[in-house]
Parts: sequence; C-alpha cells; structure tokens
Amino acid sequence: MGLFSELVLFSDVEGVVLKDGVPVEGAEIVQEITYQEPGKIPSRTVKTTADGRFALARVTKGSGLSRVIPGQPSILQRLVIRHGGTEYEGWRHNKNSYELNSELAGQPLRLVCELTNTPDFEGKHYGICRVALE
Amino acid sequence: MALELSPKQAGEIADSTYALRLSDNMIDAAAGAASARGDFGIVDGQRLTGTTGAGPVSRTTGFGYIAFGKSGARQGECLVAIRGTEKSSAHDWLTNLRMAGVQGPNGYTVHTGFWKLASGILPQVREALRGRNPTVIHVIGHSLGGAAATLVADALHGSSVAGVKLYTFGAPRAGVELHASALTGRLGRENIFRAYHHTDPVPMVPVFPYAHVPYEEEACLLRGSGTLLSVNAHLMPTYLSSVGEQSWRQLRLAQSPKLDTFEAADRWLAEAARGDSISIMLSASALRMILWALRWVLRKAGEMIGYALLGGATIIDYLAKLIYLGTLQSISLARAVENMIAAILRFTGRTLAAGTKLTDAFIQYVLELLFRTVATVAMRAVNQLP
Repeated sequence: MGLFSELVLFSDVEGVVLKDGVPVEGAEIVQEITYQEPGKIPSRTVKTTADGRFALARVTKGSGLSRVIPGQPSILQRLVIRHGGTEYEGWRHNKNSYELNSELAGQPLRLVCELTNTPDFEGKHYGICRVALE
Repeated sequence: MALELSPKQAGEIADSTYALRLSDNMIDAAAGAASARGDFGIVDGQRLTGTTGAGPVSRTTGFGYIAFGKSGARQGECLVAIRGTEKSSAHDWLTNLRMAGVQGPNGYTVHTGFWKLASGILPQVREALRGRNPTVIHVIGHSLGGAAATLVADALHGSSVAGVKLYTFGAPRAGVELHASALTGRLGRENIFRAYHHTDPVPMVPVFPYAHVPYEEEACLLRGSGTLLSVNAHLMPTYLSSVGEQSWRQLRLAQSPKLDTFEAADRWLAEAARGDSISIMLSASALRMILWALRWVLRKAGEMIGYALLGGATIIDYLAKLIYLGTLQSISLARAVENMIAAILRFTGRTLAAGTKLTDAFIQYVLELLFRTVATVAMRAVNQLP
C-alpha cells in the first residue's frame, strides 16, 4: 500500500441472511463504524435481496499524512440485522489495521448470518454471522 | 506459583484494551483476546477508565480492564490490562526533556506522567479486588500502558498477598535505576516479561537514570524488519506477528549485544566516532549502543563527581554538567565523551567539527539533540495509537 493510498475502515462485505436455512428477503443490514470519535462516520443501511444476499462496499478514509507515519488504528465495526421487528447482533470486531481484509487476516469478508444462531465469538469477532466456508 | 500467560495471550490482551477506549461493551475486548477469553471471564470483567486533559477539555475514556480466571487452570487468577495513552498526553510525556520524577508506589522515583495514569487506575483495580483473594495477578500493557502497568504491578505487589506477573510490549522506562532494581527484586525477574523490537523507539525513552525492568536484563528482544527506527515496530499488530506462537523462553534466547563495561563502551564509541566502519545514522542498534555508552559515561562521571548532583531526576543540564565536570577530572573520560559526542552527531546526521571545545553548554546541546531525536520518533509512534 502506497504512502497516500486510502485507509480501509471496513473491508468489502458480502453475506447472506438466513432463517432456519431459508434466505430472508428485505432484512436491513445496518453498518456502524466508530473511529477516533463517536459519530464521526455515519452509519448506512442496505436490504437483503430475494435470495437473502447483501453487499457493502469498503469504507475508506483518505490517508492524508497518516500513511507517512503508519500506525495502529482502533476501528470498532458493527453489523446489526433488523428483521420482523427484532434486532440481531450480526458482527462486532475491533479492526486494528488500515489494511484491506485485515478483519480475517487477509481473507475476504464473506458471511453467513443465520438468525437462529446465538451470538458468539468466532476468532476475533462476535455475533450471529459466521465466516462462510469456501 | 501459577503459570505465566503465553506471549500470544498477553499480546492479544494488550491489543484488546484499545477497543475499550470508546466502547463500554466488554465483548469488544473479549473478541480481540481470542486466545485468553477461554481462561478469563473478560466479558464479565470491568472496564477501567481514566481522565485526560484538564478543565473543559478533559474527558474520560476506557483505559483497560480487569477480569478474573474462569474455573479450570486459571481459577483464582486475575488480569489487569492497560492501554497506551492518547497522543496529546503522550506528546507531553515523551518530549519534555526536563521531566522530573515523583515518588512512586514504594518510595522510589518514577516518571510523573506514568504514575499519574497508574494512580488513576489503581483505586478501580483495588475496588474490583475487594472481597476477592486472587492467587496471582497478571498485569499487562502496551506502550505507555506498559509503563503504567509496571507501576500498577509495583503498587499491587506492595499491598497484596497475591503474586504479581508483569507483561509489557514496547513500553518506555517507568522509574529510575533504584526503582527498577528494587522492583525486579520484589517481583522476581522470572515474573517480568518485557518484549520489545530493537527498532521500536518508545522503549528507548526516558533515558538514564530511568531503567527497565527486569533490571540489567535484555528481556525479550524481537527482531522486526529493517535496521532503522520504525514507528511500525511499536504497534501491537507488529508485536503479535513477531511473537507468533513462541514461548517466553524461546523469545528470551534472542539477545542483542550490549556494552557491559565502561571499557567496552569506550571501544565502541571510538569506532563509531571514526565513522569508517559502521553506518549509524538513525540506526536502531547504534542508538541502543549510544544509550548504553551514555549510561557508562554518566556512571563514570558520577563516581568521580558524585551522584548527589543528579538529585534523582532526569534533568538534562545536570547530566551535561556531570559529564562536563567528569571530563575535567579524567583524560580517558574526556576522550570517551568526545567520541560519544561525535557518535551522537553522526547518528543525527551531523559531524563534529575539528577543534570543537566540549563545554558544558555544547554537551547539553548535543544531549538535547539526541533526546529530542529519539523523543520525536517515539512520539510519532504513539501518535498513531487510537
């Protein structure tokens, strides 16, 4: 990554929302990022398609001089899933690097979010979403 | 006594504290400490807070956490983890070359800023420990949080029957030599785990008479990439990558060369001053050697002039005066000082003009140049912490 390339606050995410294994259409995925100060990065929302899929493009910040002095960020990530009047904790993670896909040690962020799952830890993240097996 | 945490566990715990700066949800810390949350109830732990700044600009944020061992191998144990501080404070602590010490938890002189941070956390830790009787307390910290952890460990050992184990990553020095020596003796050097990269500038400050624990030991030197001082070398992801799955014993096998005597320092300085065999500009290993040599020069001068002049504080003009007075007493010390001045100037990209008179003002100028260079690079490293 070059000196003035972007800082990745949340890598590209692709996922699917299921309930009892059946794709859920119209579920809301709310992406929240806390970086440096609360409320600095606005949240955004997408809805799942008929086959339960959703995608969120990476969230970046211009590096300015930050890349000249590369450092250790702390970026709190969260995905909340809203469906049928219920809110589900999908994903919580503290991203400690500006690199793309650092959330999963370089692997792309592909998630399966089964609404009947109990939120739990998996590696260095927490929630009902699990990393999709390739 | 209980088994120590692995380097990976301690490193992940240190890294996980940063999540709590703005989050009050312990899940965010537990998520980062993947290798430790099975042993410790981090989710049920308590967030520790601290206040920085003063007046209308002061604010309270998370500074770490305390958690207790789950049933099983870690039952009855406790961990206290402290994060590095915010850059506004770090700027003051790292760049104030005239910083004075203050009387610390057991009566020895320690760094004012680190003790202030530790003092804010200690009442919360003691309150959380009330009614419990842990068999061992693991105290962990990165960067300035490592220095605060050192002083928290000191205070807890002084007031608790529990054993204390201390783990630091890229921490600056927390107290003067007498403090480091006494704390090493009380905790036991086998209970102190200090990891640092040879290119990390932060563990190089503050300079003599401040000293690391374990006192007079190399601790765990981690080989990062490159040979120059590097801000990346200070960051927890880099430390986690370096420790990998290794044990503390494996990490302790990697030792860097050091200068054990004044004579060894004298020889190295003579070579470095000539500049015909080694390139030292902004070299991390050269800086380590310069700081070793400075320590020996000050000791030698102190033997001749008397340490009373120092008064137990790092005050740069006192150091310069001590060195200057030493050069008037000893030809061999004067030669070593001249070589040291030349080496410091070369480290900062300058040269010593022939015939330059080594006055106390000039020595002070060169020491300030050295300390400011190290502090500036160190400050850049902590500036990037959240």
